[in-house]
Amino acid sequence: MIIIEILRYLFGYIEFRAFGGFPDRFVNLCTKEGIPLWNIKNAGGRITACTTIKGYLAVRGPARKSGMRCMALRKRGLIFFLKRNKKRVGILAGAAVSVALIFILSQFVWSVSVVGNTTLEDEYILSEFEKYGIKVGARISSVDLKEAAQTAVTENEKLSWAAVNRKGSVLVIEVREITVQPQMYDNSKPTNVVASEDGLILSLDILHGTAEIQPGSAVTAGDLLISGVIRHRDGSESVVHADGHVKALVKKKETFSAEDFSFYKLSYENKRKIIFFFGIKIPLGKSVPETNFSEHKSFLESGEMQLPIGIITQYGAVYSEEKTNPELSFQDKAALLGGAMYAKKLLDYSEIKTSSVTEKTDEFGKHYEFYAECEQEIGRLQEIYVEKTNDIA
Amino acid sequence: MPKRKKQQNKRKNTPVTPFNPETKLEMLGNRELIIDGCKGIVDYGENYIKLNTGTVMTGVCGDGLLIKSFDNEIAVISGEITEISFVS
Repeated sequence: MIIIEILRYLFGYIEFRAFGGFPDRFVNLCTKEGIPLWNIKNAGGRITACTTIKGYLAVRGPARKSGMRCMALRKRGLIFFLKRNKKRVGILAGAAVSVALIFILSQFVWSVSVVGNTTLEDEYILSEFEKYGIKVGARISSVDLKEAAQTAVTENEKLSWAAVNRKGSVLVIEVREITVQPQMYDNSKPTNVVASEDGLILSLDILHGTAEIQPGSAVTAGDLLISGVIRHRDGSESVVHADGHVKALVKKKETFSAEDFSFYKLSYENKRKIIFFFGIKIPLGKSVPETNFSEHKSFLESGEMQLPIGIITQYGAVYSEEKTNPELSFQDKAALLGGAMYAKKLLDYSEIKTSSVTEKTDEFGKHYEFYAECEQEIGRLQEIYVEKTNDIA
Repeated sequence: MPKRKKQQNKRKNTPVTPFNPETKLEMLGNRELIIDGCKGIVDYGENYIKLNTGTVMTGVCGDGLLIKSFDNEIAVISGEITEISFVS
C-alpha cells in the first residue's frame, strides 16, 4: 500500500469535488470507463475523491452524464511540486545534490561491527579484516566479502570460522574463535608432593595421596607434604601420582641498593587530532611519537550504529631513563623500591600479608631491605623412581 | 437409481441461496470491508452504500464511510461499519 502511495505521489494526483447530480451513477460510469478513483467520500450529496491527472481530464464525460459538476480541490505530487518551484533553482539543486550524495555514500562502507568474539578484542579482529579490505570507507563493490572471510580464517590461527554479512552500508563480521586444545595432565608417573620453600602450612587440599603434615606445621624446603605411597589394610603398599594444593605463609627478603634503580622522565610529548570522514583521515597538527602511543576514537552515532564521521585523538610521549635522584627522601626511595619490586615481578606470590622496607648502611654503601610475608603455594611434584620387576613364582 | 433422479436429489439437499457464489466479502474488524464481485454502486449516501453484488444487493451502513478504491469489481469500503444487509 505504501508503494502505491509513493507511486501516486511520484506521478501526481488531483483531489476533486463532484456535486449536483447522482454520485452513485458518477462512480459507476468512472469505473466503467477505467478512470481510477480512490478515497471517495460522500458528504451531504457532495463527493470528494482522488484521481490521476489523466483521470481528471477524462472525468468530465461521466460527470456530464450523471449531472454532476467537478471542481479540483488540490493538486498533489512531485510533478506539481517541481512545477511550483521550477524558478527556485536552489531547492532543485539541493534535492539533486542530496540524491547524488545518498547514491554516492551508499556505495561505501559506513560501519563495521564484530559479533561472536569471546576472548579476542574487537580492535584486533577489525585490524585483521582491514588487511583484506574490510574497513570503514571501503567501496562495497570492490570488496569480496566471502573471500575476505575465508582468507581471514586461513591466515589467522585464532579464528575457526568467519563470515562478513552486509546490511546496506553496514558490515557485520561474525566470528567463531578456535578452541584451544587443553594440555593433558600426565598423572601416570608416581610422585610425592614436597615443599619448595620454608614456611608455615596454612591449608592443605589433597587431590590424591596421603597427607604427611597438618595445617599449622612448619616445614622446610624439601619436606614431604603429600606422600604418593598408599598403605593398604592388608599391609601392602602401592604408589600413586600424589597431587594437591598446599598453601603456606612464606617469609621473603630482598635487598636493593638505590643505584640499581632508574626511573623515566618525560622528555617530549605530543597530541594531535585527526578528522575521520568515510575512511579519509585529515590530520590537524604534527605527527606524534610512536613510543607510548595511544589513540582515542570518538565517532558520531545514530542509535546503535556508529557513523564513519568522527575525531581520532592520538597521543605519544618519549621518556628518558634517569638514575635515582640522591636527593630523594627515605620514604620516597622506599616507595620507589617497593614499586620497582612489584614492577619487576620479583614477588610472585598469590597474596602479600605484610611487608616492610628498612634502610641499612654497610661497607658497600646504603641499601634497602624489603621484607614480606606472603601466602604462597609451596607444593612441588617430585617423582618417585620405581623399578618394575617381574615376580616369578 | 436413474441419473436424472440422482441430480434432482442432489439439488434438493444443497441450500438454495440467492447470493452470487462468485461474490466474496471480507471484513477486517468493523473498520474495513472488501467486496470482490461488486458490479456497481446502486445508492450512495453519507452513512450508507448500496452495492450491486449480482443476484442480491449488499447494503453497508456506518459512520465516515469511505470508498478507498473501486476497481476490477473489487470495492474497499472503510469507516465505522455498523450494519451489513442483503436485499434480494
